[in-house]
Amino acid sequence: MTTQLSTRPMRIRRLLILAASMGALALAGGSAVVACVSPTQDALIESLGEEVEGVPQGEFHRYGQPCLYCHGGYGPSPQFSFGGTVFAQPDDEVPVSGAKVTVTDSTGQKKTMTSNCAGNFYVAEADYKPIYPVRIEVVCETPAGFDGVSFTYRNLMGTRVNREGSCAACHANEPASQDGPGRIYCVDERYPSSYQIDPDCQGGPKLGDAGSATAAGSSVSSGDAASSGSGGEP
Amino acid sequence: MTSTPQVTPPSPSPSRWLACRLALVVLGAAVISSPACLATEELGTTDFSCPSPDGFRVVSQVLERRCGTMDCHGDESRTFRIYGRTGMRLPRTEAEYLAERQSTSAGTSVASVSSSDASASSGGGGDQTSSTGSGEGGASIFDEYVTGGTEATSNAEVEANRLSACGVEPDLISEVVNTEADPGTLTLVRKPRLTEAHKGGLIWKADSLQGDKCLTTWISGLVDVAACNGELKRP
Repeated sequence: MTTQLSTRPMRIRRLLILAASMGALALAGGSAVVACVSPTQDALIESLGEEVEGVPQGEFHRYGQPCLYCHGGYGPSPQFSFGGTVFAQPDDEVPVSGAKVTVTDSTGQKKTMTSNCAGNFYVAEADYKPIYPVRIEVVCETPAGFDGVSFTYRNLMGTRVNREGSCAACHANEPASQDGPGRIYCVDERYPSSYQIDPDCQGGPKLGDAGSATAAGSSVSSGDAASSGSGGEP
Repeated sequence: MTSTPQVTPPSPSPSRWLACRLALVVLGAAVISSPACLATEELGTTDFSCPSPDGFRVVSQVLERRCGTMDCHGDESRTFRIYGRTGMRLPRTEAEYLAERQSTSAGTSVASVSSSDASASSGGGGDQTSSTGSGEGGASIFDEYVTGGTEATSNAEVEANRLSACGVEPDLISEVVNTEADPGTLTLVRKPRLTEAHKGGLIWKADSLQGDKCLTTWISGLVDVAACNGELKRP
């Protein structure tokens, strides 16, 4: 009986203290708890740099960058299954508009994406959720050249993709190296390219950017003779 | 007689008692684990048995194709990392690469390649290079020593792949080589079979276990080249 009299106020006090502590904790660490951040992912996103001035967030922004760093389910951005950028040739930055990128998953389910004037293509996860591994091919129809002739190039990726939806995670916006296959491209460097930068495009490189001059000029670049002719993505 | 309420001193609650015990356990664990750090002079090397390089080139081709894409084990951050023509290349300077290539063509390569490998190399993936000397048009063959380039998987890369495969569980693969354990105990074998969790999923499809046979026969000492070639023909 005596114990009851003495402990009841203590219980109430403890409950009050507990409630106050939890409230303070929630206030103090509220932002961190709500955001549920990943430092690794944040570092990857930060490594991409700022948006290019004058290019709004949307389908034309950040050409050549790994789309799924932001669009892979982390953060509020729309979620994609695949996304990337198609360029004219491996050694330049001229984006290709109208390239058809077809993904076929291990169950045979296909999805074809078409690149825009910035070379960007993507598919929302709601529209296509592949079962890996997947096979990818790129079909490009070149603009008519000086002789009025256009060509169709069909490039099949040399390996299967096993998990990565960001094409640029491997296909960085640079020539092939020991670390990666370089850009996704339409025309082997042995052949001339009639692709040009679209000056009216909201995104993509601008005329006069590094690498664009040679591309628009469509000359055969050096070192091309040693190329394998395996076609498209190395 | 009036009874005055008496406050009895609170006995330690069970949760507080538990917390104290937990703290003691943590402290004890910290004390025990601290001397476990090794000083540099205490570090050393140990020998282990790794399956033979003989006939490994075709096994390497299978690993390059099935495991070595750049979004999986063709990545230097992986413990089990695979190098090859269609994936990550073994980092080399031009001088190193050309010197290795020359020594290979002179038949003094570290990784010996058996005659059976030559016939298997047509299976694709990392087949031995066909070009010799410098490339056409004055371009260096080193320019093609890139991911997806025409320079085939080098012997140094094949050897790196072999050591990587052994390095996953060196003690256990040693036991398997010495017939003290079954190949099926290895993570290297269990992951593609999906008998152990594997982010890449099931690699050897139920309708064709040739890749599994290729890998396990190499580990057991005699590569089943036909099985390896069969796996390489699969899409």
